[in-house]
Amino acid sequence: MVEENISRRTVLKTTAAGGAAAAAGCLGGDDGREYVRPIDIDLDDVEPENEINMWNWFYDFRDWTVEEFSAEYGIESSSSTGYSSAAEWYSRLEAGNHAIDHVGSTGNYTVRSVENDFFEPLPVDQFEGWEALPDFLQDTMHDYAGKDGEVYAMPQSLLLYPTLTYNEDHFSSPPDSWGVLWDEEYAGDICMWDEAQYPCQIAALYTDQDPFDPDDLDEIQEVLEQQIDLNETLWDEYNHARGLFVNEDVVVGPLLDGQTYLARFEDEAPINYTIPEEGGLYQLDDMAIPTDCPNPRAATLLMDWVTQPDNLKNIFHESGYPPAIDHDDFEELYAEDLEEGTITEEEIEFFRWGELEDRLMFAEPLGDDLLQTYDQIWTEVKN
Amino acid sequence: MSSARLPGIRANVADGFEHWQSFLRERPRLKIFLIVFPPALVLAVFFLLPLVFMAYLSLLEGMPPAPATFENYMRLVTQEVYLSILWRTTVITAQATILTVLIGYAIAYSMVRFSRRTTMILLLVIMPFWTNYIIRMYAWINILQTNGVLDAALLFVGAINEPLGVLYSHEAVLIGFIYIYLPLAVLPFYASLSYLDQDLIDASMDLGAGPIKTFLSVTLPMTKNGIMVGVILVGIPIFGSFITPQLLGGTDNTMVGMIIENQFVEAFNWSFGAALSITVAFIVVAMLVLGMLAGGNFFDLGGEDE
Repeated sequence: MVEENISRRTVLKTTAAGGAAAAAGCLGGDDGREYVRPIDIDLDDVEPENEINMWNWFYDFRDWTVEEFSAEYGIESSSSTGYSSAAEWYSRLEAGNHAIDHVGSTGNYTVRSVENDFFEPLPVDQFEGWEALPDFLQDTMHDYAGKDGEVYAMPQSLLLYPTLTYNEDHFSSPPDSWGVLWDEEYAGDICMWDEAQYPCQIAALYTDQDPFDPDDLDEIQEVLEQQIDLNETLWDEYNHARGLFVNEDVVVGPLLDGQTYLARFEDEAPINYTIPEEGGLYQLDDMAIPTDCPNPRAATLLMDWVTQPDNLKNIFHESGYPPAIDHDDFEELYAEDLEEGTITEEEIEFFRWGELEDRLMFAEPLGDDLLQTYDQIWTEVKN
Repeated sequence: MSSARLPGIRANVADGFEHWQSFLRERPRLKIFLIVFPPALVLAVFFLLPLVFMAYLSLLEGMPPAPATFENYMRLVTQEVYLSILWRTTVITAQATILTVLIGYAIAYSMVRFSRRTTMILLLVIMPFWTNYIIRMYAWINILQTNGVLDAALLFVGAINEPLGVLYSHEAVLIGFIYIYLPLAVLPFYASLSYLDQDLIDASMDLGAGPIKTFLSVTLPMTKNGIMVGVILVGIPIFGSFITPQLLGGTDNTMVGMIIENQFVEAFNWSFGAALSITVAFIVVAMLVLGMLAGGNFFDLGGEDE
């Protein structure tokens, strides 16, 4: 009985402490000043709030950023939160009272957030990182994360999405076609991305169609039905996918350049990637400031700080993903790191697109109709 | 506050308490209302309301405000692919539940009947709950993969000549489900078997029944309610699972939970996802009703039927 009482009391205490912590998190930490929109902030004349809450899926880079930025600006209270799916923060923004100052986003989630006014327009002309972006990235941000002439997100990482990743022990030269995924010689050694739009877009490229506006959906379904049984498995989680290659459960399949990098350089597996002749896609992971964030001044300063090339380059050191700068500029950006030996020529060469760049197209987010059509096709193929 | 005043305060509190007691005694309906209202409110706000909103969303063309439609349900019942996935989900759920119940019952029975260190064994049974679900699934990837722990062990003892590579198969999904939900089966079985009156078993033996007949005619019927609770606790979450088949399954283990997740995070078709979820909820309720019609009383773990 005594044990029961103690345990009940402990449970109540824990619950109360948890509730208080949750309430504190929900209430945010602004210092009583009025909300100001980031677009109206003059970065040369702004005092940050004493708190910052950063959400980003690049865990190590996020922690590094919060720590360094807080130290530089004397911010005493900071928190960083990770997530495996953008749906986690998106549902918070939908619900309101989200207590997020700075969030990492991507693709459709960025487009939807801009459409629904979940993100604030940014004073990009004041950002050093914006000036450093090559023209094609500035244009891309205007097209994809822009509305009424304003830009709502800053690029974080420039990704090949997906790569055709392969095991060098099984391929003497990089496969030159997505057709390798249909090659029965590799039956049982192939994996496919279990997110409808990617297998469908790969099938579109394989059948020489526009992956953003295919004209023969039946053909896409037909070739995917031919392909599905050649797979060892389907993947939907990046670490799982990397493990498939590292453990040699599969030898070829779609992946990301960042995960391929981690497999090659951290797990030391003979894994590499290519972009086939039919073409491939690249995508941006970006960062944004949610509307009604609790600390808009600190969030805007953080956005300026983290997107400066000298800071953004640490996404590579901390998380193994390439920063969103022109990959031809890597050598110059990482010159000091090369001297210090914290990065190698081989690593820089790994991310440089080189002649593969001509095969790449920006993975513009798909509209609802095509997204749902692809979902229907992929569901039927899996069945 | 002086200690001399404390008895006076205590007396006032006691008077007030007695006054409330007699007040409520004279108003039995108010008393019942005060007892029932808080939990009813919690159930309404946190369970019923979200379900109603989900049903509302499932009847819209898109995110609200949007025109009403039955299209989402029509799509579900007219397209073979979704009916087929629902059927496959039902089959996998039935297989995993039956196996989990059989293994769980055997463990609980041996704990109650033959083991002295039941607390230790119970602790071992619930210990996996201390680790995150996804981490446990990744552990199984290491065990079941080609040349993984299982293959290495079987090769070592000479049970197999070449690696089995169980991972990414139907069997791997079943193993994952059994492992994850076994504790949820063992605990109600253990509680049910613990309540069983030993005298009834002794009486059966005295009357000439052997161990098997005693088990089938006394132990099993007397623990029927516990078994039904275990079936429900295991079957319902398996029906909605998506992580286990995603990580351990091959290309033909798509379950309805995976389709629902896709609608919310990839296809952005929340209305159709809501329709699928409501359908799954109906199937689960139907399972509960069938269970009750089969004679299960989920609220009584005791060994004796009323």
